[in-house]
Amino acid sequence: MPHNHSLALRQQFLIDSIFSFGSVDLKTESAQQGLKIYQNNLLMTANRALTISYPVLNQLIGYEAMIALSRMLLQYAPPSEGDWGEWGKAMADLLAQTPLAREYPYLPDIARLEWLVWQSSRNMAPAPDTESLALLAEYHPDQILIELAQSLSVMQSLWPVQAIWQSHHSADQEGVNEAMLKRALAQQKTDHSYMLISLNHYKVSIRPVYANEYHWIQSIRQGVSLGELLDLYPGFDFATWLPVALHNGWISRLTAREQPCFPNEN
Amino acid sequence: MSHLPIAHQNIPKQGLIGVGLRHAHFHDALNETSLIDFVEVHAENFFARGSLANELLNQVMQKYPVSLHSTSMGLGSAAGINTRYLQKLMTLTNDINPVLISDHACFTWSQWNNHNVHAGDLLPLEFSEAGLRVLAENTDRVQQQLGRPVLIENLSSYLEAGPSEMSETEFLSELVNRTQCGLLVDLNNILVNARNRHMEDPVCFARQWINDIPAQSVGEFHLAGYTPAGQGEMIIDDHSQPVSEECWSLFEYALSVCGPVPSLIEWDNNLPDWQTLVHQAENARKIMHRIALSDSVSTAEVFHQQEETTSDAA
Repeated sequence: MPHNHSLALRQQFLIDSIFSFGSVDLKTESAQQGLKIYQNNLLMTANRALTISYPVLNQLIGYEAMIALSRMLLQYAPPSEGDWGEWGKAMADLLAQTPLAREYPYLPDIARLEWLVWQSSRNMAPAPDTESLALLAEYHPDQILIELAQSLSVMQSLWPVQAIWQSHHSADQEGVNEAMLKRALAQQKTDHSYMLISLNHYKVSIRPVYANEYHWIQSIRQGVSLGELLDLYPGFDFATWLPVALHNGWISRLTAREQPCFPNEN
Repeated sequence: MSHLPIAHQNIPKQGLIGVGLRHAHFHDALNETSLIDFVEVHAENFFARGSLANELLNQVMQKYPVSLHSTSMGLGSAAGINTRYLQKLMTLTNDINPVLISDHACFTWSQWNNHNVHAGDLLPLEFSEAGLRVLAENTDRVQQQLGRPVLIENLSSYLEAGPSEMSETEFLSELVNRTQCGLLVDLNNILVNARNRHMEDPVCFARQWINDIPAQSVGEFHLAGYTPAGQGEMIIDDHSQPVSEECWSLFEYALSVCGPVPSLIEWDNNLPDWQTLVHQAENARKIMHRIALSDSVSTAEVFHQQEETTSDAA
């Protein structure tokens, strides 16, 4: 180790030696052996974390490829939070740059879906604040914002990723349902499909949605008010959607921005 | 450096016996009767507040006191401790009010390719004044924020981190002196380090190690086993085996020096069934009772001898 640097630089040197996975010119055989242990520990821990957050991807590509991806991801987007459960979001982007994605182009979207599922399972899903519905009578829709549950997300894909995911989470058998997987993979590229990922009683579910519901939820996430939503999506049946969203815990509460506005007084 | 409102003397000193609780054992821990005084969980596994694991932890807390053992705080990091990480730890601590809080004398936070990075492992510290200053400042900050002392665990390490100006025990003793933290003495780590450094008599080295730290600062013992290493290879502290005979023997010695502090069986890989783990804990309890008994016999003998001396003098 270079002893003439500050403590911070010496610590950086060790980090660099570990994350680069290469051989480093250390003084002794035993130091080389020690470094290899840290490199191997890092790779194995990263791999274990990724097989937990990406179980379907892991089964699709197998152990060797997952180890290789773990190592690449450590360098592409190294952990920075101290919680392995928070690491791995960049998997889809990384996959898209690999030969694997050229051969199996649906893999990045599988990874994207799995990350949303994983994040959903880690978020709280508190009961919706139904008292906040009173805001609908008190405020103009332009002032009302819908706050979605943290565990809710939506995604779109050109690939049958929901069917592929479900073949690995078949209720009637453990492991992969090969017949379902075969059927899903045979679908090849599709028109855009849209999915809603949500958490209910600690169980994540994925359900297909129509494009307008996908865009509606995306717009809510972007902070678009209820009034603007109704203008943007005139065909969307908000009155029917609201009770369903409340029942499924997709909405946390309604909030109002700025001062109350009473439409009848205008 | 500021000092804690709570001194390390307040760390629970009763002879509690616990086990490291891993996800595979949650069901058995909740449903089977066992004479376990406390369980230890890894803090980071419960940072996701909405997860099923957190719900299970709530149920576990109804049955056992919980000790919070974090593995990522990196108290010796020259880069400091990530504020978001510390906030999550504080939230969890407030949620579960653990009986003990501990982490390691290691570093984890640094920079790599101009990005903040977490090492994902317990990386070794250099036993220097610079290393001590960073560790003490970070420990003090954490203790102030948590409002309670933390126990700092000695590390098993696989290479020397930098220039050593003092021994590990001098380093840890001075840390206690500067921060009023407690020590979590991992007996297995001392033995693993002694073997990996080819000490002539690892048990003798480990006993001396115990002698060299301030006994009153020890707030917990960890006991574990490891997979034997191949010829010419280093032992990896993998917590994959029953507590080794060497470690049991060292535990006995450490209890006689430090007294009956909370003691925990760690088993993280190649997990046994719950009953095997509980059996290991029962063995620890037997040893603790035996030492307590022999201590009380020794005390009685001393008292008796004193009485005889007094009556002789009279």
